[in-house]
Amino acid sequence: MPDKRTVHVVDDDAAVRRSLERLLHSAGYTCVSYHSSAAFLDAAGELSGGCVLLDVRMPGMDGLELQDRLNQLGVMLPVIVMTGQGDIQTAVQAMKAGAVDFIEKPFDEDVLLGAIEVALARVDRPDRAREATEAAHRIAALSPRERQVLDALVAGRPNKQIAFDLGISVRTVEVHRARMMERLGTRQLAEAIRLAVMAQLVSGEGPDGVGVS
Amino acid sequence: MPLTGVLDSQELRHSIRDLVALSTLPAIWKAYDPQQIADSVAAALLTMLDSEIVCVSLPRERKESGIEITRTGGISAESDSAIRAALRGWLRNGPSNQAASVVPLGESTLFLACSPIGFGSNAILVAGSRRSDFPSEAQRLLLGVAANEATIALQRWHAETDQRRFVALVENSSDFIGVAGLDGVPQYINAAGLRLVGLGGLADATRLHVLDFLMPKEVALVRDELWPRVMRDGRWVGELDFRHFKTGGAIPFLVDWFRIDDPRRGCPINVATVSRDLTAQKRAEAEMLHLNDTLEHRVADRTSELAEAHRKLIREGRDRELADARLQEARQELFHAARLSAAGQMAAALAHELSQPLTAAANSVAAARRLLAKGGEEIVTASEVMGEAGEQILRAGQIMRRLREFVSRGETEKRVELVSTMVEEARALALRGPDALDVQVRLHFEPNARHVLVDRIQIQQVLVNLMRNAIEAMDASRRRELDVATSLRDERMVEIAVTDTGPGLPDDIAARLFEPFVSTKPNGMGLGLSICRSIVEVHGGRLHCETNTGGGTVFRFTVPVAPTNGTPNAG
Repeated sequence: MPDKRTVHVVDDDAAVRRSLERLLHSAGYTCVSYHSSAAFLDAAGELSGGCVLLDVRMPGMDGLELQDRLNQLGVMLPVIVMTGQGDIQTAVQAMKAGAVDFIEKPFDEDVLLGAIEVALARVDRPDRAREATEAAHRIAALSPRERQVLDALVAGRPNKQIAFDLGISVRTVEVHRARMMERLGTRQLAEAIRLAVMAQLVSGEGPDGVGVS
Repeated sequence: MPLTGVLDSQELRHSIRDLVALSTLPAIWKAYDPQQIADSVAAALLTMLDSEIVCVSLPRERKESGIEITRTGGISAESDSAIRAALRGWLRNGPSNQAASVVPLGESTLFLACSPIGFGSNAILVAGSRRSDFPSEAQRLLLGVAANEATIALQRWHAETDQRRFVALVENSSDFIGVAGLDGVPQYINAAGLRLVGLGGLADATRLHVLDFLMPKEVALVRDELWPRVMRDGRWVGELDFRHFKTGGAIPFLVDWFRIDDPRRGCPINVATVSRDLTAQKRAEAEMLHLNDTLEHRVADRTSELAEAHRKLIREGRDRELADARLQEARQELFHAARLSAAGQMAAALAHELSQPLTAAANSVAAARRLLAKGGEEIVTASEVMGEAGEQILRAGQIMRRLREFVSRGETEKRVELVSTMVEEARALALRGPDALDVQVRLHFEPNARHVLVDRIQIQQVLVNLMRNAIEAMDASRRRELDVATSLRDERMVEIAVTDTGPGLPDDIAARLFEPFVSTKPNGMGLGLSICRSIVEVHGGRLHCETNTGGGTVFRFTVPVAPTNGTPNAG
């Protein structure tokens, strides 16, 4: 079934769409691209497999709104969200809305393809609960300070403000942040945030400053 | 001096008689002045010496000796000049004792004898006779004695004159002048002194003691300290209060107390004082002091008033400065924040825009590498994909350039620009954001007004600002139309009008529209239009707003037309 290896790209930028088609084709995927959320929604009912690579920032209906609509329509395709660099807030929102992952533009091909592989492997609605439990276990291993720093990062606060809020120096924040990443076994902040969001899905408790929507 | 002739008893008796007579003269001369003394001695000598002429020369005030000639009837006045000439010789050369001279006098000769009066002074006593035996020894003796008597009398007269002068000085002085014995009993007090302390006469004073003249509070000081000090040091000067004997009131005196020593033995004989009544001076001083005091008070009062006013002014000035500084600071912060938020929004927008070509380029490069790895026909595709990657990198570069141009806020740099390009670029920036999606934008460019001379970045800021305002104003409107139109106002200015179909401006806002910090937006800082107007005015144009006839608002601003020979700047 070709649909199993299909990636649905939704992005308003023609050059981005074109380049993703090129890359995904060369990597052996089927790629279908849509220039707007509306265009994808039109086709969504017919889709039987694959995953969705969704740009959050688009004119008209943006990526987050599209996620909501897909959830409402019962479209269960796994969604990977492409966000702007450092746009943690949007990433957290996308994760809460059910995205399996998020990647920051511009991204490394390995990150992209890795995320797609994970997503496609859970085409039949992955066991989010198990993944979330694991994330919660790892988060629980953090020291209180490291947990505070992670929560603040999830809330989208810059290091400087975290330092001020916690009454510590920026350098100390960076130390906590590095140790926290190490303990979670993540190399990128995005991964740490993904874990944090997953863990929240288990506990049902929102981190400081971010409500569960 | 040896006697050349022998005196007979008769002559001796006469001489003794004359000497006795001469010795009685000084008693008479006590009341005489020098002239009277001279006349007296001359008259006596004429008789005693049996001489025919006696001359007395006394020092006069003009330092020229006046010569008094007293004569008997035998010598005529015509001989005077000859006699005077002889006398002048003596006076000029200094008269030597017992000098004698001979003056020819017609058919006879006048014999002169001279004796000086005083000690080396320019006064002489001369007697003359036509008798050839003149002067005898006895006559010389008598002349000398008479000269001595006259000398003593004259000296005493001079001394008495000095004394009288001093007495007059003391008596007429307005100061308290007194002399006391070493026992402290007054011996003399001048009239002024008696009057000042209220005493009737000197007799009253001599029954008192120096200490009685003082206020009681001064007595101990004077007795124990000042009087001994005067005795020891010879003098004390200071202020003391005397007592008025009738009223008992205090009289302030500047007291000069001094010891008088015997000139020969050197031991103290008296204590004297010259004291000045300071009452008037004290009163004047007190008045002056009071005046000064009140003046000082008034000056002090006035000064403190002035100082207070000055402090107040300084305080107010400082407050005002602080307020000004705070306002300035707040304004700066707001300007900064506005610029930052504008720049921040712009940066976020451009960062997103930048991430698109970068994402595309990265994807393309990754794809090309995979294709190259596969080899074969895919190499052609890889080449194509690399071309696409290159295009996207160039696109990113262009975006960067735009960002840099937008962020850099250099000096106004006016260039010839195409109005249409500027407006279209501004529209692209202004229409970012979800609220701009279903706004219908219409651009109209007047063909005769294509080129303007402006700083493109600044005028685009104005355009973006006005367009953003228009879009936000139409947020709740059913009809959402944004018109941007250019027109040639005159040969110098091009007008750009930005028209919306929003609800229009409330009157109170419209009146203050271009003032800083006036805003219709819930989160607006009200700086945008104020900055816009500044930019337009720097360009020599005007920015104003009016109500759109079809509902909404029109903002119109003018910018200078580019010179006709100018070439448009490729932007």
